[in-house]
Amino acid sequence: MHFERILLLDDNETTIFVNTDVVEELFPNTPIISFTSSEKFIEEALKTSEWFDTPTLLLLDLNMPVKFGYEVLEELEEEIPDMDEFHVIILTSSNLMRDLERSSRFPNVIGYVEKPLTLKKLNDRLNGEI
Amino acid sequence: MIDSTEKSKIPSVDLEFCQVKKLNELIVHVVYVRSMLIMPEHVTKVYNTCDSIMPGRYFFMLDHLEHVQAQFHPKTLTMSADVERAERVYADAFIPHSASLKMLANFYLKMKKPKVPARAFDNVNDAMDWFKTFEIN
Repeated sequence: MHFERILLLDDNETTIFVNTDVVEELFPNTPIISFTSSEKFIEEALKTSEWFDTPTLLLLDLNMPVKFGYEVLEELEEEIPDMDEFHVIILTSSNLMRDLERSSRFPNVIGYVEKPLTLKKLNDRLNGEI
Repeated sequence: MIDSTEKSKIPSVDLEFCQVKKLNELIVHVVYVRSMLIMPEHVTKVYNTCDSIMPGRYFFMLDHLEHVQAQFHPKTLTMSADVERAERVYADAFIPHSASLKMLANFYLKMKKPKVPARAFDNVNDAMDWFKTFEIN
């Protein structure tokens, strides 16, 4: 599985630090771009069309203070008509089915991982295991 | 265009984990009835059953996962996406119920890029409407 870049969006800097390690181990030569603010992430996304035109993976925190992860996806969906190469894995500490159900309606969401992220969990999701 | 109202008199075939039913002359309805890990050999059984009830014919497949938390082994997803299926199947429609199955359907459609046209739907009626958009000979 090849991605041109991997994006991390999580409001917690420690989580970003730990998740970067996991991602680097699985994709040692892939650029990783991290964000702790959903607003800055959306701002950057709207001016970076290659995120949606070439294979990109976003690891998205579901529970963030300003916007929930699915609200980020809703905004992207409204603004960007073609997100065919944009793939999302939801990271969540919550197993609330309501939140997962709301996230799963986006065709770009290919899986979810309960925190903490580990190499095995990420590898399993990227192989289609649920 | 297809007529989904034409009912078949052929009974369904019960496998240990799913029911395979000829819905009409063009549609096979596969209803998964047991929560389990679905391996390539299980899908092979489904295909063989489809072959027996649709001998030598192309057909649409309606995969219904509404009542179970079935899991598909990664090898099963790879096999299902393979080009060989395009020789017999017009299109695949999935009706996943749970959030995790919806995500798995998304994974299949986006990452495995199946050779047969495939889509996930919230209900059977929408899937049937999609089938009707295919022009078939």
